[in-house]
Amino acid sequence: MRNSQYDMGYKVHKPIHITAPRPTLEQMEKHYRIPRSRRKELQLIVDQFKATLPNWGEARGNATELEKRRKRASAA
Amino acid sequence: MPPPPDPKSVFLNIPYDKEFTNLCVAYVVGLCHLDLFPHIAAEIPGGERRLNRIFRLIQSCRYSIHDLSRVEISVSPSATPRFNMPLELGMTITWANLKPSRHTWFVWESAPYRLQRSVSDLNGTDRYIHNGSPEGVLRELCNSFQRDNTPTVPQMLENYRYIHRHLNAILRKNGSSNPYHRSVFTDLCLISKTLADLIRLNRSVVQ
Repeated sequence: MRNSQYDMGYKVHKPIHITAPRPTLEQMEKHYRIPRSRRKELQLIVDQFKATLPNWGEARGNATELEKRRKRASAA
Repeated sequence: MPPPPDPKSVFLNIPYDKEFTNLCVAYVVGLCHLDLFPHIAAEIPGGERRLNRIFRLIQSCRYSIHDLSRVEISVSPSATPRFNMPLELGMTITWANLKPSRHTWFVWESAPYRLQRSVSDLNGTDRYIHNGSPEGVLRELCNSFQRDNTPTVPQMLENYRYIHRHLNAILRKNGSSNPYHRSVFTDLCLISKTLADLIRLNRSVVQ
């Protein structure tokens, strides 16, 4: 018996859940053998992107504040 | 026996032509946003026979995506069909049948019924239809893979548009006009991953 979804020419199973640890940027550079200097050369494009992010300044401020709080907590 | 495949690596079996550039960038952006490592045959250095290098790359990747949307007769006077993608799909299917736990492959098309006409032996295989659009590619990537805390398809699409706007600058930085050159491809991966990390950071800190 044919599957009706196949008859429609379109069938999608459940997606594969990726459980492998999320790689860092450094791991990616190592994986592709990208020299570290490359990141600096592409920095301008990344910086322009940051400016387009809503709340980026606020997010950075919050991140700095969170970092300070974490440091204070760990020092105490 | 080759070493175990990298669980984050995805082999992209795609055509290397100008018309496919948009979709190639979408594949790179989408996979990097899912924190996977896309790979294409063009990025492996020369020396050894090309087919052997491609097969080794397939073996080193846990997943592969075979986009057959451009398996068609070329417009050149010789009008030759393009068989590279089906050939690499055949190699992958053989490898996956020999070692099912080491490799999973996906077939992608632009239209629902094309695959039934071009490769009817694949009837009964899941196919992912991207409608020939970057948005379709990103949507189907999220239908193929999922990972916690992944940016949404609209966010990926925004990043895709941003990277696509800067593609010429990236090509210039590499002194190339070909987005499938290794250095351009790895730059695309690096920028995509950086933007994905920024989106995630921005979202988590603002929330």
